[in-house]
Amino acid sequence: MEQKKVRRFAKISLLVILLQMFCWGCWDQRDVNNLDIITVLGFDRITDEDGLDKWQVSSFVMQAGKSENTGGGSGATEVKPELVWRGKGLTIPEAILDFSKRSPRFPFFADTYSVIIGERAAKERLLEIVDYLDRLREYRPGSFVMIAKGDAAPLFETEPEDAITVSRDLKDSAQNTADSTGIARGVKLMDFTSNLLSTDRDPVAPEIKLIKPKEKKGERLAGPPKAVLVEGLAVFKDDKWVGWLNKEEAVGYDLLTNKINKGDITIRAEKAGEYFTFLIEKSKPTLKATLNDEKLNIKVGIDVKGRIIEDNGVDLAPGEIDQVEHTLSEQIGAMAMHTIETVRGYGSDCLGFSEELHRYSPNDWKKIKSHWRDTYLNAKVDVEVNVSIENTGRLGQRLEMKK
Amino acid sequence: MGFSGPKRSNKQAAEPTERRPLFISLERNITELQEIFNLCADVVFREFTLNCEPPINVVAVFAESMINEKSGSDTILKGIMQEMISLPPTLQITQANVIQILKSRLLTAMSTKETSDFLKLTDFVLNGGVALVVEGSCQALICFVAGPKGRAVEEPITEPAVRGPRDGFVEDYQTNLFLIRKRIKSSRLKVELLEVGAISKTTVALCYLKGLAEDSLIKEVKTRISRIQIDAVAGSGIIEEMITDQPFSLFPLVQYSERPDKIAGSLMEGRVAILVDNSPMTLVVPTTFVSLLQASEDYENGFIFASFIRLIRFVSLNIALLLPAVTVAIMTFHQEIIPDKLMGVIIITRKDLPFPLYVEILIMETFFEILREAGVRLPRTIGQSVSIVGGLVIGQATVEAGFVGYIPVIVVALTAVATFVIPNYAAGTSIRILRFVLIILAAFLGGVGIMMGLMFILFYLCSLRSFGVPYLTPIAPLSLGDLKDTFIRAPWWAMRTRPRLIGVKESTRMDTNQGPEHPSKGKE
Repeated sequence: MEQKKVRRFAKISLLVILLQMFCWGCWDQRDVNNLDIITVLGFDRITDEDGLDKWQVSSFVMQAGKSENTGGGSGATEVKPELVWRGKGLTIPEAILDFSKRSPRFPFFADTYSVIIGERAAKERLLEIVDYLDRLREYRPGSFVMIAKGDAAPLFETEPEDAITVSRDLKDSAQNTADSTGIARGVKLMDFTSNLLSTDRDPVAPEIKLIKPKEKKGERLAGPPKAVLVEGLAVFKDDKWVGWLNKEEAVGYDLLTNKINKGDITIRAEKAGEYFTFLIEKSKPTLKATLNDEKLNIKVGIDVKGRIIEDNGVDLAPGEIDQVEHTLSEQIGAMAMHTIETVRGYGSDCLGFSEELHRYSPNDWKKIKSHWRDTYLNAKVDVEVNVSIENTGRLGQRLEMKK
Repeated sequence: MGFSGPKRSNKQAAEPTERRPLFISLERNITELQEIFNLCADVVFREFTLNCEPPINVVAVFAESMINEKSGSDTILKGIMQEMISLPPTLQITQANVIQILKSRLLTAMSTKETSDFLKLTDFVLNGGVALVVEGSCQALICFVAGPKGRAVEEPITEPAVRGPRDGFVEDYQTNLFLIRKRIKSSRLKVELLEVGAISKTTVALCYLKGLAEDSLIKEVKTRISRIQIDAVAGSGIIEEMITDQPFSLFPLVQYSERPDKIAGSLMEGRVAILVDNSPMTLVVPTTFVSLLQASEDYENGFIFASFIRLIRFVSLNIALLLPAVTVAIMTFHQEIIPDKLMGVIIITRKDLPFPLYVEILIMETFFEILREAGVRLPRTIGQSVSIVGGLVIGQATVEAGFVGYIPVIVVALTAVATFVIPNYAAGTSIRILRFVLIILAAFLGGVGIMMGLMFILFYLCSLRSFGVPYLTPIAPLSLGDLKDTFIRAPWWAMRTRPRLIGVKESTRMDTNQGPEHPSKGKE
C-alpha cells in the first residue's frame, strides 16, 4: 500500500515537472518578427544638459524594409538603411530602455556584430561596458570591438559605401579588409575581454573613424556624404585607452603579433630614388622572452614572404633580389621597432612580450610579477626580419618601349 | 480448427465444417452436394455416362468461374467420351476400378487428386478443380484445370526502378511463386502452403531457403501464421498486423515489397518471405530499420553511385523528420544562431504575418498531407489537376494573400520531396507521423524538445525487434561487418558475408579475392 502511494506520487510529480517544462517553453517563445535586431551598438560618455555624466547608447536596428513587391514573390526585396536609435541614461540598461521603449518589440542583441566605444568612454568606463556585454543573455563572443575617434554617436549618421548596410560594412571590414591590408586588426569581444582581464597583457582594438568621401559625379556626390573607415589601432593600458597607432604602426603591430596567411599588405620600398611596392602575402613572427638578472630580453623574428608587384623603372635583376630583400628586411625591422617604441611610449604591453615570458618561464615571471610593467618598459628588444621575395609578378622582364 | 465463424449462420449456409465421407450412391452424393452449393450460380453439375458395359453415370461438379472451360473440356470430357473406345477390349471397366482407369488412362489433366470427403471435395471445387463423382464409388476424382489467372505481370507501380527488372508481383500467388522460382532455381527454395481464414480459405505460402534461413525463424513464422484464427484474409496487410512483434508499433516490423528481385535478394540473405494469395505485396521477415532505406536498385547500380544515393537517403531521412521542427525551434527560440545576412532576409519575409510560425508550419504540413492523400486515391488523370490546384493555386495564393510566409512553404516543400526519397512507403508513413510530434515539441520546448523527441524515438527504435532480430542492427547492436551494406553499399566482391543476425547458418556468400585485379598483378 505504502509503495503504491510512493509510486503514485512519483508519477504525479513527473507529470508536473513535464507540464512545467511546457510552461517555460511557452514563456520563452518569441517570434522573429517580434524582435528588434540590433546590429551595432555604440557606447559614449556624455555630459548632459543637466550637468550629469550619462551614458549614451546609439544603435543600428535591422529594418524589415517595406519590400515593394511582396506580392510578386520573385526578386528584389529592397532593404532600407537601418534604423538609428539613441538613448541616454545614468546606467547602460537605462540608456538602452530609453530607445527600446519606442518599439513594441524586444531588443535582440545576438546579431550585434560590432560594438563601438567612444574615446571618452574607453578612457573612463571601459570595464563597465565589457561587463554589460558579457552579462547579456544574447552575448555574442564574436562581436568586433572598435574604438571611435571622438564620440561613437556621429558614426551612426553615416551611410554605407560599398555594402547594403553600415553594420555589414563594419563587420566585413573588421573581419577581412582591415586584417588583410594590415592597417587595423579586427578584435573579437571574447579576445578583447580575455586580454583586458589578463594580468600580463593589454588589449588593443581597431580604430574607427568618420570620413567624408569627396568623389563627385557631376555636381552631386558619388557616394554618401559620411562614411566609416576602420584604420589604425587603439592602445590600452589596463582598462584605460591611452593612445592610437597610425596605419604604419598598425602594420608593424600586425607583423609582430599575428601569423598572416592571406595578406595583402603593401610596403613601400625605395631604390635609387624610385619607389616600388612590396606586397606581403605571408608572415610569421617568432617571439622569445628571457629574463637575465631582472632584465627582460625580447627577441622577435619575423619571416616575411611576398612579391614585388611593380617595377617602376627599377630593373630588378635576379642578382639584385638579395640586396632588395636585405633593404626590405631593414625597413620592416625599423617599422616594427617604431611600433614597439610607440607602444612603450604609451606604457602599454599590447604586444604580448610579458605574456610570452609568463607562458614559457613561469618561474622567472614570479620574480618580476610585482613590477612587470617597469621590467617591460626597460626590456631590451631585438627585431630580426627575414624577407624573401618569392616572385616579381607575372612578367619576367619589364616592359620596354622599342623605338 | 478452433475458429469456424459465427455458429448461427453456419446451419443456414450448409457449408460442411467437419469431415463427412461420400456415399456409395451417386444420387445421395449429388443431393448432398446440391444442398451444399445451393444458390451458388457458378457451380455446375454436368452429368454424363461412361461408354462401357454396364454404363456408369458420372457427374462433374465444378465452379464455372474458377476453371478454364476450354482446357476443362479438352483434358477431361474429350478423354472420357472419345478415347474410351481406344482402350484395350480386354479391360473390364467396373464401378470398383473406374476411378483408377480414369486417372491412369483417360484423363489428360496434369494434376489430379482423390478424395472421399465432402469437406475436401467442396474445397477443391472452390479452388478451381473439377470433381468427378462416380456412381457406386465413395471416392471422387478431382482434376485441376487452370482457371483465370488475373492480370498479367506488370511493372511494379509502387517501386519503380531505372535499371532493375520490370516485373512485379500480381494477385495470383502461383504467378508470384513462379517469379521467385525463376530467380532461385534450387530445390533448396522451399515453399510451404498454409491456409488462413475460416471462410475465405486464403492460401499463404511460406518461402525460404533451406539451410540459409534459421530453423527457429521458420518455425516461429509458421506458428504465428497458424495461430491466426480469422474469418477472412483480405490482403497481406492483415497477415502483417497479426504476426508483427509489437502490437502498437509505429515502425513497420514486417517489410513488404512487390518486387520479385527484392524478395529473392532477401531470401538469399536468409529471410523468410510470406506470399499471400490475392495480394501483390509479399511480406518479408525479419525486417531491420536499415533495410527500409535500401532499394533493390542499389544493387544494380555501381557501388559508388549506390553509396552516394544511400548517403543522400540518410540525409533526406533527417530532413524529412527534422527540418520543420528545427525551423520552428530556431525561429521561435534560438534566433541567435541565424547568421545576420539570413536574418535580414527572414525578417522581411516574416513581417506582418497573422500566425506564429509553428501554426503556419502545422497548417501547411497538414494541408500537404491532405493533398498527398487526395492525389493517391484519385485516378491518375484527375490527380494532376489536384497537384495543380493544391501546389500552385493554394500554395502560392496563401503566401500572396499574406496568410503564411514563404518559409513554411519552402520548408514543407523540401520536407515533402525528402519524404519521397525513402524507398519504403511504410517507413515513410511513420516518419510523417513523427514529424508532427516533433513540430509540436519544438513549438513548446525548442531545441530541448527536439532532442527529447529524438531521444525517445531512439529508445523506442532500440526496443523494437522483428522476429527476434533487433530493429536497429547493424547499428545497435553494432555489427561492423554489416556496415558494408548500411550507409554505403560495398562492391559485390567485398560483400562476402550475409547479415550477421539473419544469415548466420551459411554466413559466406562467395569465395575470397574475387575483386577485379590489374592483369600485371597475376604474372608476378
